[in-house]
Amino acid sequence: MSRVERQQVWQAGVLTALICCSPMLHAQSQDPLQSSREALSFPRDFDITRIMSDEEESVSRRPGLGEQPEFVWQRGRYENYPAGRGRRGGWWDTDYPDAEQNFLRGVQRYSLVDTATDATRAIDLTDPALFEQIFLYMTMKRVPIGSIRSGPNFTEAELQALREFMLRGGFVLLDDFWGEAHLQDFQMEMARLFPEREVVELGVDHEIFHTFYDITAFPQVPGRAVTWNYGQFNLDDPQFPPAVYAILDDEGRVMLVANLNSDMGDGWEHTFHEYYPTFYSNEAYRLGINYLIYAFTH
Amino acid sequence: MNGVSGIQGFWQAIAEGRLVFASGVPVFMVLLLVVLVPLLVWYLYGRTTRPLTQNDRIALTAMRSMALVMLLLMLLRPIIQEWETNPQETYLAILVDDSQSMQINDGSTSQQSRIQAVQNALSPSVLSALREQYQLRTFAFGRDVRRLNSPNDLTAADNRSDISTAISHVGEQLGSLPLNAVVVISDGGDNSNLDPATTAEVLGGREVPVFTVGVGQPEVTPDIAIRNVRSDATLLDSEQVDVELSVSQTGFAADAVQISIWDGDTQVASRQVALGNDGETRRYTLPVVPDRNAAIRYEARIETLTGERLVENNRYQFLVDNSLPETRNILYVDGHPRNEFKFIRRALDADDDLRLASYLQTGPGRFYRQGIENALELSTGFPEDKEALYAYEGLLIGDVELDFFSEGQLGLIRDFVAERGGGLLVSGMVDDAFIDTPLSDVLPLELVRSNSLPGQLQGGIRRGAHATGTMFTPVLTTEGEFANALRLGSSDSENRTRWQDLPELQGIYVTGQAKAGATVLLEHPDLQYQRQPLPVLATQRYGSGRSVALTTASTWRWQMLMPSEDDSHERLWRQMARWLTDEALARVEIELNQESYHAGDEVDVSVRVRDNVFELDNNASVWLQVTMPNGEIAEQAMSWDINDDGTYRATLPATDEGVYQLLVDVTSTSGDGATLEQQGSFAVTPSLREYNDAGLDRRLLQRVAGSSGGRYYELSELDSMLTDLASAPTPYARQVDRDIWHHAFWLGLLLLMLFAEWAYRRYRGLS
Repeated sequence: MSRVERQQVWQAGVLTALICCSPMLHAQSQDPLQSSREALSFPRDFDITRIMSDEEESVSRRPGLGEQPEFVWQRGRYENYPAGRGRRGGWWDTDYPDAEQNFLRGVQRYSLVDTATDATRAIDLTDPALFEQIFLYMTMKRVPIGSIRSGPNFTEAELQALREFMLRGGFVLLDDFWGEAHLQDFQMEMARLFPEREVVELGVDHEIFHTFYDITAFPQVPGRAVTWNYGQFNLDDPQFPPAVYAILDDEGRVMLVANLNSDMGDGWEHTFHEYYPTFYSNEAYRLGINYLIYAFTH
Repeated sequence: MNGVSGIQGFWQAIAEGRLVFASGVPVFMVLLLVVLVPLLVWYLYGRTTRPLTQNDRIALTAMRSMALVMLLLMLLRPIIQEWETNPQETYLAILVDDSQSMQINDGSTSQQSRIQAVQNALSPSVLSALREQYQLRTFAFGRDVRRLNSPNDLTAADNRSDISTAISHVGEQLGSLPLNAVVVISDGGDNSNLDPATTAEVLGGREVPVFTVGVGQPEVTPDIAIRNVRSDATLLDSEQVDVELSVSQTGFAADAVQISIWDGDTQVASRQVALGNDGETRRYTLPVVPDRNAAIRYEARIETLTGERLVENNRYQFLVDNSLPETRNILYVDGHPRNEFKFIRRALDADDDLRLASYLQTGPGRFYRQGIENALELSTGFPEDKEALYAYEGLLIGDVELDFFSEGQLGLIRDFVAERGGGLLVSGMVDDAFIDTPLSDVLPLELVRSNSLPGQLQGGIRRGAHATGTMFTPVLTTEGEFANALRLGSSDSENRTRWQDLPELQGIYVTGQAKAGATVLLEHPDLQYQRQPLPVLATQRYGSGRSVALTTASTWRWQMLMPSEDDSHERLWRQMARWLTDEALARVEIELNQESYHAGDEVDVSVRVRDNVFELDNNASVWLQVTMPNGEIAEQAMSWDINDDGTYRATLPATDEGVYQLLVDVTSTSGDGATLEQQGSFAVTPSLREYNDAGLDRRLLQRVAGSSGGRYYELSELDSMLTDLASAPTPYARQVDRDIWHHAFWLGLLLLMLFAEWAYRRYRGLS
């Protein structure tokens, strides 16, 4: 696809998204988040249409830094991927690689992080190269619940590597798990990771939500088919209140952050899908950039 | 002239040219006569009525000639010229060393200390004889000089020997009197800063000789001694202090001994060590973890070994100031989020002694502040005036572009280092745009335009196959290996091992060579520019401060690629931050004239005061509060030194052993008019200086005597010294001529010769 064609597709996507989003947002007017959402649909400090634009607006690379960017997005690939490692199609690679590539485009446009759109890689948790970067993204959900053959069911080696990664200063973002059952599943897995550390729920006043953008509410960034209930389009479903959980290090810094009832990956991945609501993409980018800046500063 | 001593005196007089003939006959005439007389006698014995054998003639000539020559010499009236003083007309000063080293029993006299040996030598009879001849003044000296009524009053308790002051004191006290001579009885263990020979020379110039009498043995052996203790806690792990003991010994070569450190009655560290060879000084390190935030007086001890002559030097007290240090403020600005920023922040953030305020550009027009003390700090960006920037002691500049700073701010950075004495560390890329800016003046590296660099060095950091982006293990230069800021282990071998274990770095910013006067601490193992390895870490002094350049952005790898328990990265950055800010000027600085004191010393305290832009402040009111070891508090105003801008002085007596706490309170009308406080401390410890090199120092005493026209004697030669003293040619002595012709000795000798000649003739039947 040529550059001109890509630009045409994105422009079409933006228009479609705008058209689709307006009535949806309107339909959700009873939602308590509604007022802020209307104000934030195109916030003055974040405009997703800039990402959709094909104009080269990257500000992140300082001349002379070199051919390869410092920051490479790492997506964790865990052992129990059913189809075997290195192959596509399991839970670890949900939204891969479009989500991160789109997100990094936003990072490049809005921040000065030294990265590139294609600076992504999937990495085994036990790969020593994991420690060459400071950030790790993983999808969390296991389908069916508690399955040992789908989402992360970390082996001892993986747990050890993850633990070490975080204790050395690495930052882990867990994404895309929904509902009470997944929450419990997540907590069990975290208890295996850090038996001595508590999983804490972060409030919006936590520093991580103010490192770049001031985030005042957690969005329920929907999945592609929106939400857990496949097939039903149900934004901001009160059954799935979004929350952010974290594990802190001895200094109180966040080592691991987990988005419950929110799928930032889809928010990034579907940036250009006409039916995907722009507001949620916006929020996914804003939150993602905040997490990234936090990882770079704490 | 009687007996043996008379003969000795005679020969001595000849040797000294004091034997002359009072008749006034010239010497050549005397010599002529001495030659002619034997010839005449020989001739006369050739004309005897009975012929003589050759042997008889020789023997008779010899005996008769000797008698005649002796008679002739006596007729020429030989005299010995001597000096004598009239009894009680002149003064004699005896100075006795009363310092602690005189307590040493070094085997010079059987089971006697040096002071006992002196007391025995200065017996009542000796003193009585001296009093008959002189107006005798006896003094004891150590730290100062005092009159000594009796040798029994000597205590050998002073912790200092100052021969020079003692001589000079006596010179002043008795200078206007007819001072015949000064006698110094000492082991020569002078530990003042003055040269006693120079002082003695002054007395010698006034024709007052100084006679010295040495006590003791040149070596005190066997002995083991702590010569020095050094503790360093400023740059290494702040929780641990490495205490280094310098231990010397004689007579216990290669023995194993226990060394230990004590805090009061509690042993806080100990170690078994093997001693070196005789005379060798070895250093041993013991780690100590202070248990409280205060100035702590520790004592290093070595066990006493059997037969040791001197046990006092087996202990050594020293002060470790573990008071909570003033927080050092460091400003860190960086141009974009990067791994290096994250991990420098984490390393310094965990150091309670540092406050890292950071200002990070996260996006276009977006900045993120951390570690700020109030909402206003850095709210308008990088400080734009001295007052705001000088509030920090250190400045880290990361990967920023020139337009991050205004021209004024660049000048401010230069002044921050040069005037304020701040530390600047640049840890990011300094590109061509910085050439010819004030920052390039401050940096320890020459900035070279990138297009003038060789091709393989162009292009900045590249994380790829490019030469400047490859992995490398930095090489510690010799200076780097011994730089405290880069120490990872207390021993050299541990330090080397830990450096070897560090992961490789990646990528180097190429600037140029280190400037003349800069010190390179780390360098690239392979890449060179103008045949010099590329510097990775370099530093230089700039004005009052220091600048440091780090030409890689990958020290974070020492954190992420090392086990989480490893603290190399944190330690290096904390040490570098402390090193960077170590010499930053403080608004109020306390200076003491010595590192430690002993009872009786005077403590000179000076305080330097600066205003909020670090101009020396002459308008301050400065009070000094001293908390003494017994808890008593004393206060005094410090007086401004008109000759030294911003300096205020006071003097304290160090009376008791223990830790003295100082609190300086400054109020000023200059600058921001702030009220400031500064704390300090010093310790008064038992002195070991009397026990270091405690052997008899003959050379010093000989120099003292020689420079003043006196002589050196051993204590056993005291009698000779007193005799010589009596005939010393001092200004108050008069010359006397002593006839020697009428002494019975010479008459006896003459008669003996005549009798021998007569007896020989009788025996040979010649008369």
